[in-house]
Amino acid sequence: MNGYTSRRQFLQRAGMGMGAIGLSPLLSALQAGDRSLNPLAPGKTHFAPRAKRVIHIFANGGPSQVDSFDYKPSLAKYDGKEMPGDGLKTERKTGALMKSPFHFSQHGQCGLWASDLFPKVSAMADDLCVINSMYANVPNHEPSLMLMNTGAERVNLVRPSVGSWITYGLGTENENLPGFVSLCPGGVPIVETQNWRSAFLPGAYQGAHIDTKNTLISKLIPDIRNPRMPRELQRRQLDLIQEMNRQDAGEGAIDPAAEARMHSLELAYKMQIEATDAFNVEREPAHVRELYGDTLHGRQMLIARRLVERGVRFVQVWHGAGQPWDSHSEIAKGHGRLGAEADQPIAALLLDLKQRGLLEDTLVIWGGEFGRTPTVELPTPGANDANTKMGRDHNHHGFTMWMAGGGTKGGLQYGKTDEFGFKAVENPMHVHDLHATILHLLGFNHEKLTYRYAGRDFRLTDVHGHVFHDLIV
Amino acid sequence: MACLLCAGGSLRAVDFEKEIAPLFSKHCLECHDTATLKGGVGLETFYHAHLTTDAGEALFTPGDAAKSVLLHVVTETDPEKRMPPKGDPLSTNEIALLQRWIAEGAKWPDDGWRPPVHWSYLAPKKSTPPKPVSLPDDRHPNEVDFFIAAELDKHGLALNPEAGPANLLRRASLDITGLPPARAQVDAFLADPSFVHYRRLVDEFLASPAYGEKWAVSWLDLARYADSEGYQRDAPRNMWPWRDWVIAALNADMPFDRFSIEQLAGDLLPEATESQKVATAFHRNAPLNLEAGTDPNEDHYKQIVDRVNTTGTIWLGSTVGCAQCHNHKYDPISAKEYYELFAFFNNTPMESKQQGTEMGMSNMVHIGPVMEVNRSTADIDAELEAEAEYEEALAAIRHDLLEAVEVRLKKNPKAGEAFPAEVKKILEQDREMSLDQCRIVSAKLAVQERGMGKRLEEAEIMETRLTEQRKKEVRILQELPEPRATFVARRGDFLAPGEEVTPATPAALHPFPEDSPRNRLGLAKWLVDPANPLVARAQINRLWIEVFGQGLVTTPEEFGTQGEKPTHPALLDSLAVAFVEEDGWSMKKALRRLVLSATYRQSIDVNETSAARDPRNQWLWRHPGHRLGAEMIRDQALAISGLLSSRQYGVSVRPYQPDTFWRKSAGASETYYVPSRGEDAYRRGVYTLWRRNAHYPSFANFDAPDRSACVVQRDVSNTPLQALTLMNDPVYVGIAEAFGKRIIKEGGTTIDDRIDWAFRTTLTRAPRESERLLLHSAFETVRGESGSEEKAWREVATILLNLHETINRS
Repeated sequence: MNGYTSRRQFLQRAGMGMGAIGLSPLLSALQAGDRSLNPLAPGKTHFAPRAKRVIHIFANGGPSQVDSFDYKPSLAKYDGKEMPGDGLKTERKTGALMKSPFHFSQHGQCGLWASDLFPKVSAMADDLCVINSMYANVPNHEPSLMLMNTGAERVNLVRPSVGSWITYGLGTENENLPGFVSLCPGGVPIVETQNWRSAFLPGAYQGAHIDTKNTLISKLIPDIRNPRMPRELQRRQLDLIQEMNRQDAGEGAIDPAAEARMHSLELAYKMQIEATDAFNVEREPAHVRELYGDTLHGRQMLIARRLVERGVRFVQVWHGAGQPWDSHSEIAKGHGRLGAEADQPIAALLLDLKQRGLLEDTLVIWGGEFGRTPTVELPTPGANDANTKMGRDHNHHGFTMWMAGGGTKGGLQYGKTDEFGFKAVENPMHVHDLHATILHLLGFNHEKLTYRYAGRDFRLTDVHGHVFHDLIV
Repeated sequence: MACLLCAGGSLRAVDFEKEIAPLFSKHCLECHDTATLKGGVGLETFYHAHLTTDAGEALFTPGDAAKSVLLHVVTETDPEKRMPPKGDPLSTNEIALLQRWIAEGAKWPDDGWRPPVHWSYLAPKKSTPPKPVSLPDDRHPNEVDFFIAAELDKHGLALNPEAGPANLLRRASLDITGLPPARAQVDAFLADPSFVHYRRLVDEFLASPAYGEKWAVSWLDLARYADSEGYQRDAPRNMWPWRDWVIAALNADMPFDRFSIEQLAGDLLPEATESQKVATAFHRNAPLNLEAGTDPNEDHYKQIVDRVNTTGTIWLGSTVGCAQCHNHKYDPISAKEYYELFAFFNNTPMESKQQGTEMGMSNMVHIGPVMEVNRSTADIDAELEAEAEYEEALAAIRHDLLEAVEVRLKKNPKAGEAFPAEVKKILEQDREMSLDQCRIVSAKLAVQERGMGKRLEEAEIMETRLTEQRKKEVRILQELPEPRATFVARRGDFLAPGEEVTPATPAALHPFPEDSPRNRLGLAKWLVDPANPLVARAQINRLWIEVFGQGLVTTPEEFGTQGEKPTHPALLDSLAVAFVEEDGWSMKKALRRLVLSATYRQSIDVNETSAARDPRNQWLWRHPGHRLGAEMIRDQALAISGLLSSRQYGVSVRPYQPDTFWRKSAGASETYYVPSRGEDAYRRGVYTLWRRNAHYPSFANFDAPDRSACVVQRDVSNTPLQALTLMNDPVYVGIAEAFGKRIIKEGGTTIDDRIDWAFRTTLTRAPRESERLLLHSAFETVRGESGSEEKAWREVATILLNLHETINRS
């Protein structure tokens, strides 16, 4: 008679939770045409997608292009000389040209010139689609982060993030996990949760922030476990709650809201299991863990793979809290350390995805919110560090990003900056263009993926953006 | 040049119809017709040609061709910039013609074309609908129902039967007070579930102090109220006296017109009282950027933009913000008019300035006007509590520090000699150590044990909090003696000033009264002028949303041409007129009308026939029964468990949240979260500290906005994370535990009595037999396994608190 002593009967009747209880005709009908009841239900693309999911590796702070993937021999030749021509405006004062402290060589069949900052990533050159001609609008972190992540650079302007737009467009392949996850160790980047917010899109599309510095699952995801109750007992409890919800909803016609709630209760329970599993890298065989390396970055890159493998649509992996790649001073030391932290895990991710056949339809993106100047930053009274030396300032005029997989052309080096790597001069690609191209790879016309808010149809690229077909296979 | 002047061959005046209009048609109308208006430029009608462009410029200056943009763009030498962008440039003759036409005064006969007047810009009118067939008198219908039933008739639908008395009372109590009804009210109503009795109970709810606490929440969302500055630093700010003002004003049923005027311009009222000045903190709620390196002028500009936009959203139901950068594409507000509204607000002092340099960085500090507010005894009580809490924490730190010193001395009796002189001096003094001294001792002797570092930081936060409590301050608006000049910011860039403007209201709306001052007070009075066609409609629509979940206009932030049309236009208008004329702007009376309606009182049951005809319940054939708001879910759970504090007002409280949630972020002054203790851990949600960058996580989970901008209507999402919060958040686990204990204490003696009591306490209604049996089995099973009654009742409590019905109005 009762759900507790004969749970078996209940389950026989109900099957395993909602899956077998099934959706009422009313709710199914509503869901078919209307995602407001189940915002994460799979969405329809405008055309066949090349990529089904995205991993965005965010080197926040602004990695230097001329020290990584944009080789400029002239920098060594004219080291210490004034840069000819009118200087471009960046955030702070810079002086003479400064050669890279890193050593460049050619990699792969394609002969990509890259420095020893990322030796293992460079070894994957034939899978990389390197864009040397990225540009943004201003040389400051906050607006540039907002531009890269939301397409609108004004801080505090309420705009959804790229990941939210994509989850809005595609829904999720696994409802037991959030559709959009933002991994950031040790805290949050600057402008914080604005980087992954859903703004006026429904809250289900918001990025779930996970502090990957934690290794305990209970710290990774708040409330994932009940502090008092083992999971089996919670299952029993949940069954009873569901049974009461179902009875209340009545026979025959069921209140769609009640049914949706029952659905999410069930998902929550499954998420407790699935998330616990997804974030547990201990379950990987030793050789895989070795490939990524037993470091914080190795761990979070491996988590990223486990997440996309389980159907999470958009995973953003940040280098760290604040703005780690912001090497205003001592770039050899700063970038050197950061590169050493990130190189093996990123290369391992690419290799691992490739070996599993996942790279084909997984788009991997690497880059910062902007790059750095080829000129040396001058010590400025009033700046963060008045003793600045041998570092580079922010540079939005030209910087490098790379993509891999998901329908992008491997072994391609696209666009050019000027002789010194300061400004994009050949095939310049604005951040809006990058967004348009990403959406295209995912099967969306960026001008048609819109959301109506405050009487206007909003889109990620606002009124801008061109798809760069040259980058696509 | 001579040739140009004589082009056309004669000295007769240029004929617009014959010579200029065809020229525009040939070269310009592909992009600049009335349908396209590219760049805000229209050359098809007199009306559009005389508007300023998106860049904030006039197209032509009659009589002065050299100053006319129109001529500049067609004579531009750079082909990239020249008009038309495609095809041949204008011929020399055509240019000369245009030039002459402008020189002669740009005569353009008015073709009379005007944008059609949108419904929301016409004054609302009261109407009487025909008596609907589907509405019998014994349902006690009121004017709301006639309109609703008329539409139901049309669509072959009818109202559901009335909800059961227990459900109805719970619904009304939650909607009016945000809390479940008291047991005595329920018992009385079950004994006499008449309409007259219902009406009396509604009046009791409206008179309850809980009413103001419930209804303040949506106003706080509109007013983007928070306890922190926003932006990266997101430092704490003191605005809670304004939050208390809102609650008190709502409870006193301050009429909406006065409620508006005091908040927008209370400082400008004759002999303004302290309370009227506190009210003006409304517009000081705008986020403030105190990031080092911010340009205070730019931030001042942004705050005024925020004030104009927020004002437009609330009192004009319009997103005027579009006109900040260009002429409003769809609605009759030009960029110039936007800055004329801006000018009303541009007379308040700067909010911030750069100050000194610390570590080479120029610091930003708040310098806006602040007022000290008289304190109540409740404020002093709160201070005494905070003082006791701080003293207790400090005493424990002293004790543990001294013990740590003893341990060191025991290990090595000579260690004391090596102590730094500073430490020796502190240890030898005959006073107790101050917090500063504790910090020194801890640092110099490297005392890390028992979480000393964190505790010292927490004590510092408590000390700061205590200082806050001792001085009740709030930021207010003030008018500068000399008005600041306002310019059109071209393309929204404050560094690109265009034409100078003076305060004025948009021409498409009702006139600004001639005897009104052209300042904020005049503007406030204009906004709540009964002639304003938008204000009452927007306010009634927001009220409707809170009660029915979905607005009569489903785009409550946009009543303009880009918004949705009302589902029941005559109803919206009649309610708007009644709100102003009959209710005298009383928000309680307007709400009372809605909750007394038969439409409101009907059951939530889904009837398949109706559901098939109107699956989204647009015509309200059932009560829509939407989910409770974030604060209400917690408030209700606290009330059910008996934990809820009834204390009102005061400094914002910090209920429990994971202590890792506030991360160390550069510059922010509070990096640890020190939870409130005692009663303050269980206050109503409206008193919870709102930090913009990290607002209370379980509220965020249930769609509470971060309050960085005006929000008219919250999302109502349904996510697994919400279920996790209710199941596993230590706050909710604690609530269930308290409820379990309360069941034992107050729920009677037998198991059945207790189940019945617990069920009624949660959902007001009695359990059905099947529900009772299910709960009974859960109880028996857990008691059997654990041998603990307490655990078994906690199980029952948890189940009840997690039901769908519990977090919904039903």
